Amino acid sequence: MFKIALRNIFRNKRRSVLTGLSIAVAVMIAVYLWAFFSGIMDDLFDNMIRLNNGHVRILNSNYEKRERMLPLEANIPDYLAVEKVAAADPNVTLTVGRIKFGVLLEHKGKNKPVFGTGIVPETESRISRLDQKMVEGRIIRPGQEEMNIGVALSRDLGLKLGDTLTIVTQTAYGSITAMNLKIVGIFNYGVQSVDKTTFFLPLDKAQQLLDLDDRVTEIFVFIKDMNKAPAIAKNIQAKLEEVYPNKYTTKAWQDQQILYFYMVVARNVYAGLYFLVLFLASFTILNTMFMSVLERTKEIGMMKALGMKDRQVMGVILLEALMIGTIASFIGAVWGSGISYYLATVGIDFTATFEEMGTLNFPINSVYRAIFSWGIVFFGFCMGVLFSLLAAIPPALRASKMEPTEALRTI
Amino acid sequence: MRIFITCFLALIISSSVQAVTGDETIRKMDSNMTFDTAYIESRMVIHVEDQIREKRFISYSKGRDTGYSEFISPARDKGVKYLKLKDNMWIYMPSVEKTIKIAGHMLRQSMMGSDISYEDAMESTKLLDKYTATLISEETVTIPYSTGTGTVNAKYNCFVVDLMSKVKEVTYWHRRIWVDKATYVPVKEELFAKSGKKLKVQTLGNVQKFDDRYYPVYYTMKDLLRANSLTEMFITKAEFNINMPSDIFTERNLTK
Repeated sequence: MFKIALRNIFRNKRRSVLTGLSIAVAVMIAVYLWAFFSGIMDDLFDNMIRLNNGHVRILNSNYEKRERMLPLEANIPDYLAVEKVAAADPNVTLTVGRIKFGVLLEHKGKNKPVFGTGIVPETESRISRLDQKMVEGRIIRPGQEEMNIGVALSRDLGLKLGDTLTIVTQTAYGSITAMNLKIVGIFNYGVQSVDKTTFFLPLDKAQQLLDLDDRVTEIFVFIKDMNKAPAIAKNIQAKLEEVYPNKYTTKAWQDQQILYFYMVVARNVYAGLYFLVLFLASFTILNTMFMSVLERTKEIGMMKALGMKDRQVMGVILLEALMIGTIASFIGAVWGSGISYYLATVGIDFTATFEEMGTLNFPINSVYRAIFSWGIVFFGFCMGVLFSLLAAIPPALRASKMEPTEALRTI
Repeated sequence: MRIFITCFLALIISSSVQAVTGDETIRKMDSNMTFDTAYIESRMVIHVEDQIREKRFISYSKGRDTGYSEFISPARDKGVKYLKLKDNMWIYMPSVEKTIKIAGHMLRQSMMGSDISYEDAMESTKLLDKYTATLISEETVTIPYSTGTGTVNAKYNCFVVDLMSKVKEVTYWHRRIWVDKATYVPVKEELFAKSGKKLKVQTLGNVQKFDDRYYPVYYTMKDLLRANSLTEMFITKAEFNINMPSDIFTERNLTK
């Protein structure tokens, strides 16, 4: 039976190659798609967590309720003591305070509402890798009236390295306050929502500007295993509750943003897309298999007349599909892994596309990098084999149901 | 004869009402509280939640619409200067060496983090230009004031006057003022929005005699929209009707 199947494959090489090719292409696309979307998803996660939340975020409970308004008065006093409570948890690797505030940035008659973020420069390098994202100049230094701004923001307002901007805003207690900040560096996260609307200044200067001495508006906590964030958030909350009853709220990244919900939806959509591609490919397989069965109607009739059983006929055809499927899927997987490996190391630059689209309030990198993993390749291969086998079932059934007399009559 | 009696009665009624109309009360209050010129040193204590902030400033004023203030402490606010000329206000920020005109939405923001808004500080027109006054009752009220070292519960016999806005562009649609009958000091005032929501409450106390007038040296303002917040002001030194150089009230003086 195996021999017959093998012979069938080689007898009509063009047909076999065509079927195999469609399977291979489908598997390749599937592998590549999966790698590509995992890459986007991982980037999304990474950026979202690093820039917006940390693994666990500690907030004043009143801040949490009105977070959209950035209520500076609902802050964390003596934040280092609060950080200490959180850092006592053995899973915690890093804690860092931040202040986020709104300000209208003005330069030469142009103005833009932006977010100022007070950061600790040394730890920020470990958090959002700010030091690696500088395209011009250097990272801000603590104690200096300096700022780092996003590349898109600098372009929008016509600002360049060395310019000094006067920041006028309100303190946490509502009075007018101002500070001159010199642009010492321009960064490019490749994240449009950040590059267009954010500037960084040293935390101590933000505290001075906003009258928030020893205070921050949020504490980011990083932990060893980010998947354990909800449990650790609860743990930290309980510890904080002992020291500061009803004062603070902790939020794990999983329950922090609506973005997480989008990600779940997006994951499902991508998974759907993936199966759609394989499904469409399986139609090609179905079609070619039907063709090959039809072409061989006479032959099948002959085999049946010679005493071959229905089951054996079906077996031959399925075996044929399985062999083509396996070889083709292997080839497809190799191609796919090649492409994803290339994308994982080089990436695709979408910067220009995003510029045209305007501000994307989604922390996606402008340069996509796929994720290369053998798991994805193996999964793609298995799917390819499975789908070719499944697609061969209807034509195989049809062939096995043929009456030998009827089949022999056809040309 | 009947006409004569009617006229006579009308005269009696109107004159007796006139003695204590809302308008009259507010007018007397205004003239008592306004000086030709004044030099005042104050200490402002701002309570927000569990925090207390103290600021000291000096101010010069001329009439009701010209004023200049300069903060002398704490370090963070030292050198911050305000200038008020009619309906305009400027703030000079020494940290950036810039003068900023306070306009538009900024007017409703808090001044130096206190419960007082720029608009409150700027109020220069006579109340009767913008509001219709109605005397609604007479009441004896007890309003505590702080002397800095202790609290005194002062009792006042007051006229209670309601002020309803005549013009559209006012922040406080409705005001209710308790004016002390003896001194014509507005010892308490409640400020309401158009919706009827009470926005702020201010009190004046520790009334002292300066020449022929009475002036409170303790003031509080409570912005009810801010959680657990209260601003107290102690006047530590006051001189009235003194000579002052005219160049104090210029924009150029801000940057000096």
